[in-house]
Amino acid sequence: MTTLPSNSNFSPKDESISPVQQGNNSFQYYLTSIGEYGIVKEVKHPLATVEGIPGVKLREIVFFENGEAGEVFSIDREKVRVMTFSREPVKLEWKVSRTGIFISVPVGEELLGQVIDPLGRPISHPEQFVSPAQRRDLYMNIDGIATRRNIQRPFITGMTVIDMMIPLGRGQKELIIGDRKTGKSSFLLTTIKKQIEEGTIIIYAAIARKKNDIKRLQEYFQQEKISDKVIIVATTAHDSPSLIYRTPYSAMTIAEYFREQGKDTLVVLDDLSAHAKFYREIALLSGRFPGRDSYPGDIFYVHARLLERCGNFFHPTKGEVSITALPVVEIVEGDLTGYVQTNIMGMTDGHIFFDSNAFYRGRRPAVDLFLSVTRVGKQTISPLRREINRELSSFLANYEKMQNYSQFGAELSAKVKNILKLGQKLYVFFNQHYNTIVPEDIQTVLFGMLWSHIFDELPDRAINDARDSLIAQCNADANLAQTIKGIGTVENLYALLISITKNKEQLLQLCSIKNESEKK
Amino acid sequence: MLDEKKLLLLTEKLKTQEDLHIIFQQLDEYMESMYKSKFIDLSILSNYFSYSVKQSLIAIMQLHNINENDKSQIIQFFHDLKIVLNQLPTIHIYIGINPSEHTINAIKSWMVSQLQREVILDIQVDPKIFGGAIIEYNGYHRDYTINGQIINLIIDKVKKFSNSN
Repeated sequence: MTTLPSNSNFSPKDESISPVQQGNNSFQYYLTSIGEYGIVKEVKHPLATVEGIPGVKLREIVFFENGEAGEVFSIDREKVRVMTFSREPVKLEWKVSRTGIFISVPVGEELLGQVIDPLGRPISHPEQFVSPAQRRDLYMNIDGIATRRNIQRPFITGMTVIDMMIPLGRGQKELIIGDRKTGKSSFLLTTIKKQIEEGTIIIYAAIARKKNDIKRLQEYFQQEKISDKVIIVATTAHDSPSLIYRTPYSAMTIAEYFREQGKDTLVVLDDLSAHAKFYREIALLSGRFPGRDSYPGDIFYVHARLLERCGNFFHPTKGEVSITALPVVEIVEGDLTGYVQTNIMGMTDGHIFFDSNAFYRGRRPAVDLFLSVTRVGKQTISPLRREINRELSSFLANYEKMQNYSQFGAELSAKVKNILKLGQKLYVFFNQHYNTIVPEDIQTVLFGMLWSHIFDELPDRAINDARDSLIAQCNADANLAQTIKGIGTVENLYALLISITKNKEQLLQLCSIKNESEKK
Repeated sequence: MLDEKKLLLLTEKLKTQEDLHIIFQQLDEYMESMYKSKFIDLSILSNYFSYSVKQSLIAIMQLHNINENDKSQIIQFFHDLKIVLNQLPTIHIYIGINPSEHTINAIKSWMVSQLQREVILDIQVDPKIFGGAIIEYNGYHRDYTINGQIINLIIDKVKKFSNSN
């Protein structure tokens, strides 16, 4: 009657082996070794109400008699609610055995380039998949303040508007919020590309996404030849809600492994509004009292305990190592006041708001600079860039105000006209194709040229041409890149403008602007 | 509600799930006849139950002060009796052979002495078991079979072997 599990050295306390991957023998094995069982008395898929299993603990893994696994979701005096991981519902009167172990995911370098589900099972190319030997508890205790460090290193996205106006730091939690189809994913992909250049490991949690979207993501990373630095933890909307609920936790657990290896990681949580909806579904099925928008009372805790695992940490050999998180929240018609979005705004270090109106006006990325916030990013940038940020913020506020006045049709003074002209050019400067990465030095030098009125008499497209030309030449010639860096490496804005004036001829030549002005 | 201790005269006669099913069936048939008949006649109990069960039922009714002439009281008594019997704890026992009456009696009296309350045995024969028994009760599963002991021994040996290498 009792049969030996497929892995014969498999024991309940052996954390190196996944119980979920052991198959039908696991139920019998644990029933014999732990000696506790329960009976399924009610099924509301994905939840099963079980009577018995007297010693079961919260979040413990249990096995149903068909070999499917589940996790204890809540415990009452007489019954236990279990979240099942399978797509098919379990049946009434089935036996459930305790395991004494808690959910874990395999972690290791072998996962790089793979698309896995939250339990560490391969989604694409299972024949090539090598499961790492090490496993990590999905709900590990969050590191305390003793191991944390202030966020001091900049996190470069390669997007001019973000790096100059809403700078981010390594270890920051920055919410990416906006309506659908406003360029959030494009921004994320560009950021990922830039971060991989800087040696960051990317964990992309695709939560309840379409299979097509996951495939497209994978193809994009392969096409850009960066897939070996990315791990996609994915669930589709077709998966069990309990599996979808675990997706971001699994991604974060893998990120923590790489953090301990001394590698900076970026975790993209795409998206947490879908995650909240699936958690709401589970909570309502379990009979929890619905709160605002029918979300359960602990929805804040569910997201806060996830995002608190990010930050900048002390590392014994590397000094500092970080987990940066970019959680995504999709909203409807620009409504920033919804329950989940305000919750996540409250637990992150700022947010970048993608505005659909700006998108339709042609701004790329369509970031609303006045509704976006970065709380810790500014402390990571150089004094020069901080000054540029300050100048730009005040100028753009002024520009928006002037633009509103200009609608009245009154005669505009030369000063106002100049502000409007420069403001328009600034937005052209910020406009960027999603796959283009603008290095920091080129951002600074181009800004300096713009602020020195070099582009005033030139058509708008000259700014983009200059940028593309500089990027191409710097990529081809390391010495030139060094020269550009030298021009932009000064103490303050005044010194930058002097440096630009001194090197004006060289820059014009590099940007192929001379010919343009001559033609004009 | 009926007192379980006062039902001892009946419950000590019920040993297995089969016994319980039989008594439920008999109770259903008797109650059906009561609904059909205008009069109350406890003597017809003999038509449905064995003599000893009938005597036990009458004694239990007397212990609970049930008026033999009050039809509603008798119906309520049998209704409550079914509920109490249904709530008796069941012990699932898996063994390799079909047990004799004597073995069942011995198991039952041992279980009652251990648990200090009446229980119902659910005995299932599993030919794969070649010695000992598996006992399940109240969410606990205990494997006292020779199969289980051998497998545990193999696992221990494999573990020791893999640790030593």
